[in-house]
Amino acid sequence: MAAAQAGDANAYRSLLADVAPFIRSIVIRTVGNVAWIEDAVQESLITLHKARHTFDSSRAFSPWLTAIASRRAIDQLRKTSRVARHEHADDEHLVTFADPDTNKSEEAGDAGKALSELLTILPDGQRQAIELVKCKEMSLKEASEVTGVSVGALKVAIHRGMQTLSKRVQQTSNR
Amino acid sequence: MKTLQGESTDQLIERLGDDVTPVKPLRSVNKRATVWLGGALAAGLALVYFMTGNPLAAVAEMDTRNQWLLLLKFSAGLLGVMAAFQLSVPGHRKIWEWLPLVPAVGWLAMAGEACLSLTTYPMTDGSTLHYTQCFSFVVGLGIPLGAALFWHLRSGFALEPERTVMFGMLGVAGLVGAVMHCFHTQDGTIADMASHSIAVLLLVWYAVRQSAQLRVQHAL
Repeated sequence: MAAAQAGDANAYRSLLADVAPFIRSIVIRTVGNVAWIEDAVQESLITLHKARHTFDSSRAFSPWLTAIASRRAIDQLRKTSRVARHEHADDEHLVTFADPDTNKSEEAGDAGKALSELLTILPDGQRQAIELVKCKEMSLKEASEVTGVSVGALKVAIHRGMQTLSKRVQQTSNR
Repeated sequence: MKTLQGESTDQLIERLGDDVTPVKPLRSVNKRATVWLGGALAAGLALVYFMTGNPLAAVAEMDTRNQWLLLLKFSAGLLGVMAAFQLSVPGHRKIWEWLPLVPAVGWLAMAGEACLSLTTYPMTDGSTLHYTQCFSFVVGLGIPLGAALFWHLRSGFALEPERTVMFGMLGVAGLVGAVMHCFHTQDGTIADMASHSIAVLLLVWYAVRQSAQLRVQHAL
């Protein structure tokens, strides 16, 4: 440590490498075998670095180091507890809406499937028009060429189909 | 193993090794505390001498209760400052984490006992300083003395800045109280005890607030 205080980088690296397992054991002894042991070890090493001028070579090194490691372990424990108190586990972070029924399809991981099921209530003409224009994002002209139905008829089919779907969704959410 | 900062312990050791520069080891804690206490006590004695003309005679003229109070205040002051210096570096003995509280509690208990025995003690003692003045004296002298102590403690590295500064300021309040006691004995009234207690608590509260600076300085 005296060499480290004199600025000997190699001696200092060697010292830090030697004390790291000792610090780790103190952290484990102080707070148990927790997930953030390495954070506490690193905090202790940083503190050792900042406080190296306070080491009195006429005193033993071990109590000085133990005090730093124990304190940092306790600080880290407090910090972790503080964070845990203010953070809430969000196990349902994929849920978009409050109503559980609304999210059934998202929970199953298949929103498209729910939409497909909903479209089955429509007559074939309306369903096909919505699938092509709304789902596949075709233009009315392209959809007209695919289906052989006029643009005007497609517009009417889409409008009626959307009205039907809207009513069904509303009824479902009111239940 | 990497931490949340994404740096492994080995990488950190390499980085700290690269950053290392020569540092001047801090002088022994006992020596630093002795120097500071020597200066503070010399200033206190000079003040008592200026106010009384004869410090020893002033103490000898006190009744036993006031002599005990003086001893307790002085002990709290001495041990509080010593503890602050000890706590300002890692590796202190555990005893320093509570020792100053012993005379401080005794001081409080004795002052409280005097309040309960109001019938045996006069409401005022006719001293030069009255309650507001003694409050001003403790706070007025305590803040600069505390600031001087705080300045000394900054050269260390307190792992618990709040406790360190709290004991330091308790020590300063004790010393200031002891100095004042030589020419303004505590008269045992609730008003006197309150003015002393509030002054001490105010100093300690102020010091603990200021301890945040140590945390910033040490990046704790």
